[in-house]
Amino acid sequence: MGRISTQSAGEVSDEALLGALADGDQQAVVAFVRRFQRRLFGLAVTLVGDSGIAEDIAQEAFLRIFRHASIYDERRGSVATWALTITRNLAIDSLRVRRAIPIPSEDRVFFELVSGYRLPEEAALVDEDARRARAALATLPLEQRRSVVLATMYGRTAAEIAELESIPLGTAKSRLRLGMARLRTNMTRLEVQ
Amino acid sequence: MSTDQIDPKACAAIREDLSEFALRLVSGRRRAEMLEHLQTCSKCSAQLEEDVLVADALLALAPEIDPPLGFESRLAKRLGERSVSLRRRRIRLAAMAAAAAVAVLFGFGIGVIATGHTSGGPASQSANLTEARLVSGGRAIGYVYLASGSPAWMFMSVGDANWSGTVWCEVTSTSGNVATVGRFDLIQGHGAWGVPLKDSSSHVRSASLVDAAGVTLATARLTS
Repeated sequence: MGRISTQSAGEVSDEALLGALADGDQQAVVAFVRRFQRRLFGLAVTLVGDSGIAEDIAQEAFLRIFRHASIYDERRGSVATWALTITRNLAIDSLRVRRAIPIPSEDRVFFELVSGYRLPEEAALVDEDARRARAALATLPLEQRRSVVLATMYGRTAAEIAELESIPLGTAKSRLRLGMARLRTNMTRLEVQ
Repeated sequence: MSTDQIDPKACAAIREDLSEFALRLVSGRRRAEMLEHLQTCSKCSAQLEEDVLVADALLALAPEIDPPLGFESRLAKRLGERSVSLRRRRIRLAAMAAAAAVAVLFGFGIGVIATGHTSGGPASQSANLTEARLVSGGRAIGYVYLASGSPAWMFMSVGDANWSGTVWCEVTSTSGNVATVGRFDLIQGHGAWGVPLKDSSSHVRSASLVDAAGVTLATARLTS
């Protein structure tokens, strides 16, 4: 494909940008970083709760994306999902080593995801994938929703959720399992609609 | 073993932890046990696929937050450093490939050239290469190459592992026998290694990397 110009970068799809990146297009590298840095850093800092470590994780995620751009398989998900999955995996690995656990109960993102309430400045941001995920999450009973958010967005294990919520381990496991199962059903239903 | 032969109680126990597994929240011995089960149970594997899809879809909920000032310039610096390191690695791998080609042409021991070990054996001039991704937790961390011939050779190239140190290579034959064929060191997640095989390459079903505790770290499926 042709080179990405600074002017055209904003109009190019994520997949085309990644393709140009795989071809070694330096403009595509810059455009890709600017397009995804807020999301990758946002996820990393949500998971690890430390800005410095989150920056390191987001940067390592970009380096891996650049390195593996040529083997990206769109059948496995969108570019954004792929990039976020790489970031999440790095953050989880980092958490596994550090295991310092900031309790997210006062965290704005945690509050929004669990309550379903959106702060006015965030409500204007429309992303179809996020809208669908948020709608599916909102259908879960509160206890399951909290467990799913703690595990997926904050990297908490069932044992840690049990401790945070002061519930038996078996209860934490079943909340997470049932929550994920219900999300599977609801996401499929929302996709069909 | 087919799924039909698996004890339903084993599946129920695995499914207790499957959501955590999909989120990479299971580690150590439990992860190894689950991996072992998942390799032979298509129902639990299918369930895992679905959990992974849900987990990935939820990533869309990640908040957008500005990284600290200077993020791009620090990334550019790391990118520059990585390019140099990657070039060095590519040169090393290219040297290995060239060495292998020379060995194929002249019948020298590839093991001597590629790894520094003296366990050499002549490579076949009609080597036929099979390639498979080395996968750890659903992520490709390298490649395994199987060259047919007499003897057959196996090459392993790891470029993106999360561990360092000594790893052991186990080969599972089509008849289900497992044999440790050697070991090599990973340095900062990178390493490459080669070994001649006693059996024909067509007898190799999969190759795995195993740590000192016997936990399977990554597997490459070479035949179905």
